[in-house]
Amino acid sequence: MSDLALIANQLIWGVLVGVSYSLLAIAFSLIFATSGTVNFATGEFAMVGAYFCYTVLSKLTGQVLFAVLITLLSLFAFGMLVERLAFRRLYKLDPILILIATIGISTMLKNLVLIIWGPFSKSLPPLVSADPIAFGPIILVPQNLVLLAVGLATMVVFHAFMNYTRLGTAMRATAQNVKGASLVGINTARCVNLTWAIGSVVAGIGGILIAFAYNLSIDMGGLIGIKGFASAITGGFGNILASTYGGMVLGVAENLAGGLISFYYKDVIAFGFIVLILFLRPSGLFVAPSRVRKV
Amino acid sequence: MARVPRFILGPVTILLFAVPVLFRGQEYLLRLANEVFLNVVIILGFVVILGLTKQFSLGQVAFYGIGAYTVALLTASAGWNFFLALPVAGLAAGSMAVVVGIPCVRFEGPWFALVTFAFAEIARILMIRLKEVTGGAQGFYNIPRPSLAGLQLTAEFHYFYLFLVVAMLVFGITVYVRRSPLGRLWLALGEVPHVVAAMGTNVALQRILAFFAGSVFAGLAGGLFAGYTTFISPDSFTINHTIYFLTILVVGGLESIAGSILSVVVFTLLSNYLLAFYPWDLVLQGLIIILFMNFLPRGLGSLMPTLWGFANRQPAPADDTA
Repeated sequence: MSDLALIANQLIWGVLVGVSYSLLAIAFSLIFATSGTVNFATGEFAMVGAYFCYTVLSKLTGQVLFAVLITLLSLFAFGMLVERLAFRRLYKLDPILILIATIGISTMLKNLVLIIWGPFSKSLPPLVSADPIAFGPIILVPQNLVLLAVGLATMVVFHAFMNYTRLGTAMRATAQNVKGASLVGINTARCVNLTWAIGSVVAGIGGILIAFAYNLSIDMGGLIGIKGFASAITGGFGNILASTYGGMVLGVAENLAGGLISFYYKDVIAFGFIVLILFLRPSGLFVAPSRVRKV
Repeated sequence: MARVPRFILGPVTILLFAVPVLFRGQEYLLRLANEVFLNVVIILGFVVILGLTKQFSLGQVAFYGIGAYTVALLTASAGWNFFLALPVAGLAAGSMAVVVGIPCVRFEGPWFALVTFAFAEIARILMIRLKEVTGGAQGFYNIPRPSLAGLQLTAEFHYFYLFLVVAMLVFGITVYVRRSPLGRLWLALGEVPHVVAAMGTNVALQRILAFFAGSVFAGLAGGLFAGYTTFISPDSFTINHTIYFLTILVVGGLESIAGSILSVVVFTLLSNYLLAFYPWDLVLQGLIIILFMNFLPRGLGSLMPTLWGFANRQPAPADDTA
């Protein structure tokens, strides 16, 4: 295969992975916007979603759509529950303590998954059984195209929800100013709770996409969590649209680097890339740098 | 926190030095004690970085690892004496912290956590990949045991004294710094960075300084660990170790030196029981973190003034020194 074709294929694959990162980045930004904490358990939320979906698919029903629906509803309840039980009391504390608490949640979830599903990686059944389509040297896998479409559709629905519904507007108001939002009669506690629920659903979709594209493993939570966080930073943290672009950029950059430079050092390159972006443009690539310098 | 009166420090020190004599032949107990000292050194590094200046470093295992590999390379490959290699290990970890810190200290909480975590992961991947230097995933074998003036440390109680001295040194430095103007500045820096900046302090410099100090402690602990176990591998420097230390710190109370040490003792004594429940032990650690954050966010350290005041039948002073 020629170099150019290799690059093209890595690009396509990068966009697919990037969409999943974007979904996680959205989850990060959403929860950060309302509760002021970076939820380090986002990757684990995604992993729990993927594993749960796997179990529903293999034990309960073969219908993919139905299984995903059950998973997402469960994740919604799960996100609400976690916020209510573990975080509601913490918002008045130092943000760093909340951050530590999210690491506690992430540790718990990761190891509970290990206990429940075991250490071996699992794979989901193929979604589409069609053969890869070759455009000359460029190979398109139908399954990946479906995943890509689902990812993009999720983003569109999410943006529509946030911008064109009453609830979405209320959530954005809460994100902007909790006091102000409660003054105009928004139930801010419920909004924060809902952002956790929706955040875990969006993260879960990201996890399920990754699970269909690669497979399921215990390490995926930590890895995609970090990648999602990095995507949000790359794009512009707290800004949901910018985070979305960030995921794409990171996915493509990482896969190009993996394909062209070295597969083993793929993650090293990804981390280096984030540090570089933080260093050169801490506000993110797609957000105008704020004029106010902190500290 | 109420000050512990100075006169008990002497007897406690003597008692600590007498432990190997009092518990002669109780290898298991001495091993636990050594583990306590090792963990105390690391935890005090966390207290300085995360407790005082509130920089959330997830990279301390990397500095711990750098210390360990420095000692391993210098003693096994270059033939240095351990006691010369140990301070170098501390400094190596510290200088690495400065290198990482210079670009990174301007990032707040979660961002700093991410960058330091990324650094720790890169360090771990390099430990695995640079096979010729580090021995790769199989680890570094046959690190020589420390020897001083012809006496080689072999028995558990030899190490006990080495670890005790280093731990007390680090403890002394931490307490001293904590009570000095510098310590108060660092604490203020953690609580209200903008105020400290407005007073004309170079915030970035102070953060790097604290990061350096805490990482030197981690490097020293790593060096001791390498000389103690004579075998190190990348498996000893994973995110799970960070979580373990974080749990200890949370239970002890982030900025409380006494609370953290108490917590180290409790966890080290329990660790072998905990390990038997793997991987439930990690679930439990996560649960402990969340419970403490919800119900006792300042850890055991916040209970101590109350207990101490109660024992003294005096109201606890409002000031929270050391």
